[in-house]
Formats: sequence, structure tokens, C-alpha cells
Amino acid sequence: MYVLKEPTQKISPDAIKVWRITDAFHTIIFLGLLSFLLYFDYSYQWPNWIGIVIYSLMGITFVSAIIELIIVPVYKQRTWRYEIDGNCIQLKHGGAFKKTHMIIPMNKVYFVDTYQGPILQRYKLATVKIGTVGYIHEIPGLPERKASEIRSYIASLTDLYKAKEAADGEEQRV
Amino acid sequence: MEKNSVYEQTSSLKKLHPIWIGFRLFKSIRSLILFIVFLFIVLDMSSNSIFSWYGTTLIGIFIVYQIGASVLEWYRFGYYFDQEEIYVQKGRFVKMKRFFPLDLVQGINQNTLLIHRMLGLTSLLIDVGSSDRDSSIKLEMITIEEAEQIKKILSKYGNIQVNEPVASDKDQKEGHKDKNFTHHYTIETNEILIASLTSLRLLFFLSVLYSVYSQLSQFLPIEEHINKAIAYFQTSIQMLLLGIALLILCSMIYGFVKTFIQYGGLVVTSDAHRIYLEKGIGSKTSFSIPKDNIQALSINSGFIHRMLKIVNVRLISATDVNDEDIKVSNILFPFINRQRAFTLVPEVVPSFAITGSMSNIPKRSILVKLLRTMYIWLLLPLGIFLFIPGFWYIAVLAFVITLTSQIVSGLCSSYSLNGQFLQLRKVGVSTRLFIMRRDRIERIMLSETMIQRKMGLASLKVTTRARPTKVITMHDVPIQIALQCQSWFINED
Repeated sequence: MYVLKEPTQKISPDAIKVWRITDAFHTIIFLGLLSFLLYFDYSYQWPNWIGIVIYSLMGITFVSAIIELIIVPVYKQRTWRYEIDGNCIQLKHGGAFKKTHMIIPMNKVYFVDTYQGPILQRYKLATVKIGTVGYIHEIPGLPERKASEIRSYIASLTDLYKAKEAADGEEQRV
Repeated sequence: MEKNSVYEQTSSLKKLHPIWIGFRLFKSIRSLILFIVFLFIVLDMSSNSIFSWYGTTLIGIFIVYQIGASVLEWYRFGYYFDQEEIYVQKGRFVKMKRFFPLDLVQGINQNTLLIHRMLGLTSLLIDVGSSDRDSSIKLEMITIEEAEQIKKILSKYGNIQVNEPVASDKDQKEGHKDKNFTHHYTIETNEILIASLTSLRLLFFLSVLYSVYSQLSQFLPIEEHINKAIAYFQTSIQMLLLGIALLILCSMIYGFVKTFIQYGGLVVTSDAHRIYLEKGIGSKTSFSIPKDNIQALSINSGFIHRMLKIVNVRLISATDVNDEDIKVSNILFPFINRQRAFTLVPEVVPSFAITGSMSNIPKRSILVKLLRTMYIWLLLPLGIFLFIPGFWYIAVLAFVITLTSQIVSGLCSSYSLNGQFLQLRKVGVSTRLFIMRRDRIERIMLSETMIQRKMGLASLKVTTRARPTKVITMHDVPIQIALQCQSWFINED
């Protein structure tokens, strides 16, 4: 009997930097948007409550940005685990508050891709996207080489499954 | 029309019935008419002369465009069948031609509206089994003979057996008996009667009544009459009771008629590969589903139906053809005695077995469930009391319903893992039982929150393939069971 192995593979520590940069970008854009609204609020004398809402949103964004930039990326990187073998892909993340553990059998994988944005590229990282029916799962922040290794590994395995299935003449994949 | 294709010259291209243009126009203009009526009567726009000039012109242009588009669409649409393929060409302005191999056809659904039947017409929806958006061909309003012809071609050259006696009402029952069709179930009028009387249609009926009233009162001066009628029933207690009784009676009749139209004449048959469903009194619908495509089963019952042991059996399948006109339903038995369902389901769907004995989730899960839903039974009522005290009854209702359903859920929800099958029963106000087969499960996700971990519980999210994907969430099963489910899922015997 096949026994599930506890996931051990980690993602790159550089992912922390990438997350910090992208989150900082998002926060700046959002704050910029809010200040834009604030400017309108002043110049067109919108009702009082709009100003209150904008200021409180700014406050919340500021506080959450601090937590998100300093603590969350480190925590996320430390708790993310994955494991890929001939049978299945396991993704495990989260910790103290909520923990999720996902299992995707290899024969349910429909495609696998690597993805690299400009920031990921700068740190020589890539994200592996694993497509199943209805969902796309991601393994974030992997070193480029590792990512393409995983991609070709999964691809070779799913090809194997497809060949086997075709030979069995079973259910057709459409 | 261009004459560049060999096929168009050699084979005669078939067309839909010309009356289709009329129906198509009616459908596209119907909403416009309502809108115009709304503008003229409610907003009294007719007095505004500028609007009326531009408005009339615009409406005129729109109608002319619709007529042109409908005629063009009809003119450009054509199809034919040969021994290997279906050829379809369509498109008002951009012409599209496609061939679909017959042996890939997954299924064929037929729908006959009452008005179509009077004209000797019917509609077919052919599932061609491709994965893109054009996964089905719709042949609207073709003659019944033509439909029979198509079905014959498909069963002769394609991979599917088509249930022949669909359109001929007379030999329906005999037709099923011969060949390899097994007849499983015919809905009975008293089943519909009991189910419709016990489903909570009263509230629904009242809301329908109210919306009809509010719409009518905008156009017609009926408010006065209604007020008079209400005053008349309020003269004495007896009259009031009579009025309420009348209202309940009307709602019962309404519920019965509505359910009867929806499910009357439902017949379930099957052969080795497919399940065939036919239903409808005025408008007839028939469709079939390959047994291999059934991903999971769900057996549900509402609050009152649970006490009467009436259940509703649904198929969760990957071939959900969603077409607004040809309504395909995945309901196998809308309301059936539970015992009977448990004996019939393995007959109809032999690849699924129902396990009788299931283990309850631990009672300590109630605490977790109450904490999880705290915002509904505590925060929401609190908010209502503070900000809109006039709606206190909603707060009480939310509190009572959520609390009881969570407690009942903790006491009665159960699971079982038996051979190839995973069975999850979620109990609350209503009961839902899901039966899933290992090889048809797409993924299993296990999650645990901090509190769940302290209590040794976990939540399972099971995804099955359907359109859209169906996710079944089961909260608070013991962690050992959740882990066992994971390793069960990944192990193939």
C-alpha cells in the first residue's frame, strides 16, 4: 500500500522578497487611489461620511500593510510545503490559524506550466501552475531550475498516464 | 451564399422550419415591448415629444435590425447528417462551418414545447462532446419526422443508442420493454400531490401573488377592489378564517399545478450505457446521460420531507448541458420514498452503491460549528437589534434556525468510507447525502483551523467533476478519518 509522505519540499527564501515587493506595489497603488479620492472629497465637498470611510480605509491599509510586509511573507515561506511523486502532488500551507493540505492525484492533472513575472525573473524564481478540472493550483516562489524540473517531471508522468489510458481505451479526455 | 464547398453542392443542406424566424423575433422583441410599455405608462414619456420622435425611430431601427438579423440567421443556418459527420454552418455576418464526427456525439436531448407540438415541431440538442464552448448543436423547431430521422442516423452510425419512442406517445411503454431498455420508475400523481402539498410553497405563492398584484396595480385600478375584498374578509373571525383557508387552498392548488407541470409524466429508463429521462405534460423533454459520466450522487430532503421519508435524488455529472430553452435537469427522482430510492438507485446507477451504516461525527464538533457560525446567530441578530429594531423577528428567526441547525448538524452529520465509496451526510435544516466514487473524485483538500486542531477535528473539501465543478465541504470530521480519506483517495487498491 502506498503511504502518503509528509510534504517536505520548501519554497525559496527569495520568495519573501518577491512577496514583499509585490505587496508593497499593491499597497502603494491602493493608497494612491485613496488619496486621489480624498482630493476629490476636499475639492467637491462630498458628504462627511465619505471622508471618514476613506481615512479609516487608509488606516486599515496602513496597519495591514505593515503586518503583510513584515510578518506574513516570512510565515508563509516557512510553512509552505509541497511534495511531488509518481502518485500525487501534495500542497500544504498555513499554520497556527488555518492549515490546508491538498492532494491532487497525478492522473487528474491536465496541464502544467511555469510562470514568471518581471519581479520573479529578477530573483530567478518561477511559479509552477498545475491545472486540474476547474482549478489551477500554484506552487509559488521556486528557483527557476527547480520549477522547470518539476514541470517536466509532472508532464512526463501525466503523459505516461495519458498513454496508459489511451491503451486501455478508457474514458476519453475531451 | 458562397458555393465554394463541395459538401454544399453534393448534399442537400437542411434548414430549420421558417416559423423559427417568427419565434426568434418574438423572443428578442418581447423584452423590448415590456420596456416600451414601462416607459410610456409608468414614466409617462409619451408626452415628451422629442423623446417620442427619437424613441420611435430608435425602436423602429431596432425592430428592423432584429427582423433582418433573424432572417439572415435563419437563412445562413444549415446542417446535414451523413454516415460519418454532422455538418453545421451558421452565423449572421461571420460564417462558421464545422464538422462534428458522429462517433464523438455524447448525447441527444429533445424538448417539445406545447406550441411546437401543436405545429408538429420539436427541438434537439446534440451534445457533440467537444470541450470548447460550442459543445452542443441546437436544432430548434425541426419537424418530428426529421428529429426521428436524426436519431436513427445517430443510433446507426454513432456510438449512442437513442431512445426511440420519445415522440410517439402511444407505444411509449411497450417501446421501453423491448430491446434492452429497463423501465425503472414512473412518477405517480399521488407522489406529486403529497410532495407539492408538503413543500413550503405557501410563502412562495404569497410572494408571487404580491408581485402580480403590485405589477397590475400600476396599470389597472384594482387596488380599490382588493381593499374591498380584504375589508370583506375582515368583518368577522369566521370570514377571516375562511379567507385564510381559501388562500391556503389556492396556494396548494398552485403548488400542485406547478409541480405537476414540472415533473408530471416523469419516466426513468436505462440500458447498459445510458439513463433516459422523459418528462412533461404539455411540453415534453427527454434526455439521456451516459452512466460513465455520472460523477457522484446526491440524495436530499427538506425539513418536512425528511419526516415523511421523501427524498430527492440528483445526479452530479460532467455532461451538464445548460441551455435555457432545452432545460436539462439532473434530477433523477424529484420526490421518492427513501426506501424505494435506496433500492432503485443501485438498479439505475449500478456503478454506485449506497452504504447503509454511517458513523456520526463527534459531538464535540457542535462547539466548533457554533463558533464558526457565530456571525449569523450572534452578530447578525445583535446588529439588527441595535440598528433596525423594527425587524426583530428576523433576528429571532436567524438565531433559532442557525442554532438548531448547527446543533442538529453536530449530532446527526455522518460519514462512511466503504471500499470505493465515500459517503458524506450533511444534516441541518435539510439533509444532503453525497455518494462519491474514488476514481471520480478530482481532489481532496483537508483543512484545520486552530480550534479544530485543538479538538482533533478537520474539514474535508471534496471536488468532483461537473460543470461547474462541484465542491462538497464536510466540516468537523475526526482528523484520523480525514487523513484516512486522503490515503484512501491516493491508493488504488
